[in-house]
Amino acid sequence: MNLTLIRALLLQRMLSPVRICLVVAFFLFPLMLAAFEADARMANMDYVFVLILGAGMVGQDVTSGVLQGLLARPVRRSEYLVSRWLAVALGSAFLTLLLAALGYLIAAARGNAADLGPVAVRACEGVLTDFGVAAVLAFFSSWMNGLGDLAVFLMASLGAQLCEGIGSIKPAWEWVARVGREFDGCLSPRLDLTQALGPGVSAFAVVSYFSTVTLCLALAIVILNRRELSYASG
Amino acid sequence: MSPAAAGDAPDGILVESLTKTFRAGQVRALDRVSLAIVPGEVFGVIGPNGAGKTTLLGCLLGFLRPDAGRIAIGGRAPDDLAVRAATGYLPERLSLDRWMTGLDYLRYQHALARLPAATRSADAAQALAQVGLEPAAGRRRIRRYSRGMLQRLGLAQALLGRPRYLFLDEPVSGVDPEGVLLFRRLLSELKGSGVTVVLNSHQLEQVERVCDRVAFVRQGQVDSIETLAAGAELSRVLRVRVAAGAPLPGEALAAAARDAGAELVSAGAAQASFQVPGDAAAARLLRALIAAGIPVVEATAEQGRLERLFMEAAGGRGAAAPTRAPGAPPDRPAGSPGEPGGAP
Repeated sequence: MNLTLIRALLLQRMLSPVRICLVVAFFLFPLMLAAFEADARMANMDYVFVLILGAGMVGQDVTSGVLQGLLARPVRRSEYLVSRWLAVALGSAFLTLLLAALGYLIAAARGNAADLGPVAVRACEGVLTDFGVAAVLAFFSSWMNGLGDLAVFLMASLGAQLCEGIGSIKPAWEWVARVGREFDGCLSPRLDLTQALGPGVSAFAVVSYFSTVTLCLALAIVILNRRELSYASG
Repeated sequence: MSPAAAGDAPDGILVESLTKTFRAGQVRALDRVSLAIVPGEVFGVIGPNGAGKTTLLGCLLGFLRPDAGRIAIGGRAPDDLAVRAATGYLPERLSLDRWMTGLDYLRYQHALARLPAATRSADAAQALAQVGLEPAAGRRRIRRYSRGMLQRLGLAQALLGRPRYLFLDEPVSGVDPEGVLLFRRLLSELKGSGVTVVLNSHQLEQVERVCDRVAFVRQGQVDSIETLAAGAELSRVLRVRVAAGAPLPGEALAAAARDAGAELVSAGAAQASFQVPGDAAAARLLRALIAAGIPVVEATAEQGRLERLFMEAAGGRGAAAPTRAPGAPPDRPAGSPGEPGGAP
């Protein structure tokens, strides 16, 4: 982990007009909903900040040539990659928590707030999902140039949802839906914490989540270590 | 100094039988390259487009993995963190974080180089001044920099932390004449302080002025290594101009050339050209001409030493192109791997 690299990525994202506009848009939309709904969380958008902040986290540095200058310094490639992942995950987690807090406050001010416990649990789930999706995006970014990681992620997500849709047409095709769900689970590792309030989170779910995140990061490091950084090597 | 001796010496750079191919071995960018760069030396790498110069630099910096051979920088592998901590690098295709200000960028690089935080701002300001950039320029965002200013900033970041090894890829590309003079002065100072510099450039005049030795790279191989330091004997054509209207007897010119160990190439109105084998012969020729009563007013080298050597080498060995394995696809029309404009 390298604090200089983490800080640099967050600053860079904060100074990118396109990314800031997208963050603001996806921030305001759920808050507007919060005025009418019990909480501000939207089920299918909880890792959108990861995609906005993380797109091209490694690939853009490779394409622009910035990575060459950076790796001429005493920085290990693994250190660089983990720092990029952490920066994206931390930035997204901050936005997720802020959104949940503001959503709750707005809903409370309008007198239709839900219980604080479940809202807090869902916010924590969102944070864990942010870290998981950031790891998946880091994996894609380590082998795709530019914003190719985002394109691959979106296409893979679409593929997973298509499978789920197709699988739901006939009972005999249930296995297709299962494939889609498993694939989606790999793309957006989640940990269901709602059980933490009751019987407790299953060990299998915890291991599954952390193994997916670890595997993605490990593969990303291996791929980045094998990459040759020269326009002559393309 | 032998390659082994240079590599074993502290701070020396040793390259042994370095081979690097691209496209699954179809393009041989470097073919058994061996070099020994002694500590404190300014070593130039020149050659035509596609010769493999940038690939060589990429291997020296640990960006590319050689297929075979060995590189030792101060006895360590090029991607060793200790080597990187002692390395400054100015890439040819300068890609800076354009959203930062110049000073922010230097502070950022300072932090990445793991230099002491206590001196960060002072070091950044000093590096900026070292390359002739005003403090106001340091407060400006890099995206507003001109090409020459970018190059200066790139040089400033390469100089942070007083590196022991400096790798410069086309360092004066796009730099104004004042910047070129500054670059020469900086390089002279660095050389005086024992920094080992590897300079890759197409600007032969600059290479000739600053380098101690230069390697001619062609088709992925080191064709020759020339010594350019003072006292080196390099053949060139000397053009001598005489006072207007003065007689220019051919026999006297030829005799003076013979006495000096030179050769009369041509004689025309108010000027003559001589082939001289080196500095000493040039001095003898001028003395002989003046002794013969010829009113010499100017003597200039027709080409730079290096330019002449380069042209001789290029003329004698055909067109430049990377060596290809049998059955390999043809080159793209412009450029080739390892050089600007080359294959992606």
